[in-house]
Amino acid sequence: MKKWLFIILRLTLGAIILGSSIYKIVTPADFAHSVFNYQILPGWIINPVAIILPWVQFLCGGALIINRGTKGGAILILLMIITFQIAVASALIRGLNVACGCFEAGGSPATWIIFGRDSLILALAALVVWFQNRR
Amino acid sequence: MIKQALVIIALSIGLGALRQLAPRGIHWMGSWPDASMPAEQAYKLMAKPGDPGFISLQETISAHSQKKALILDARESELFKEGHIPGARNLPYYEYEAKAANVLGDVPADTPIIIYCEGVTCESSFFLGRDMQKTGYTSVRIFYGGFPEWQKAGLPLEKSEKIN
Repeated sequence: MKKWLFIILRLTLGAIILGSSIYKIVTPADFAHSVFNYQILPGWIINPVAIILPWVQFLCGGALIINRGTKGGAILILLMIITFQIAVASALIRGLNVACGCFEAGGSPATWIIFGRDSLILALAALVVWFQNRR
Repeated sequence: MIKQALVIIALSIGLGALRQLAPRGIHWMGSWPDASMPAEQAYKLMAKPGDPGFISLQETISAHSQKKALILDARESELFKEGHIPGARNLPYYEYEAKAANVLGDVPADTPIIIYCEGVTCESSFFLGRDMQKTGYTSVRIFYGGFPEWQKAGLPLEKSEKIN
């Protein structure tokens, strides 16, 4: 039973993370604008982040789906989501009406609803990491 | 676990580098505005072909004092309430579809419009300006120095309890 639960959680998380990487890989310029709008990173590092981060997401999501390198993928996903949460919260606290940049270019603005949704994904990632390290 | 994570990161750097060779790749070194940059220089970094034109602080002051343009504040309502250019209307860019009819209902499409937001590190005025152009507004410009430049110049501000 637990084994099945773990497989479902792992596949769900993998699909979400891989899915969210696609637009960022297709249009890195749009993703770079999203990163810029959060006004957290200095200018020189925005493009390297916009170039590399989507691939980290893609490979981590893929790792969870094919169940190879799953421990490394899951822990990276956990760290990424925590980072995104901090970014969204800090934008909201500063009153920035930034586009989330989560699953699509532009798209819905970062709101506390988005923060709540990402908290669920964070919980999912934490569960996957926990299951993983218990086995 | 750490080894796997490092492999994923290394692969990502490689794939990212390869991706840059394909169409729509971006340079590793980007040029992004920072708060210390003159507004017009920052505007040029952010503007795409066909975007609304740039308007300076001086021109904005003159259009404002002669009431020659409608001024739109693209920032969040909370920031608008705390202080804005007197007479400006608030239209957060992501609420354009929901609020445009209400905020712009009485505004003919050829009205000169000046949009601003939170200065050179804020892109909301571009997003709003593009949406307005698509809707048919023909004379939209961006005051990219925005609220910080206006405030720094010691110009009058207005506060609102209610929006519009």
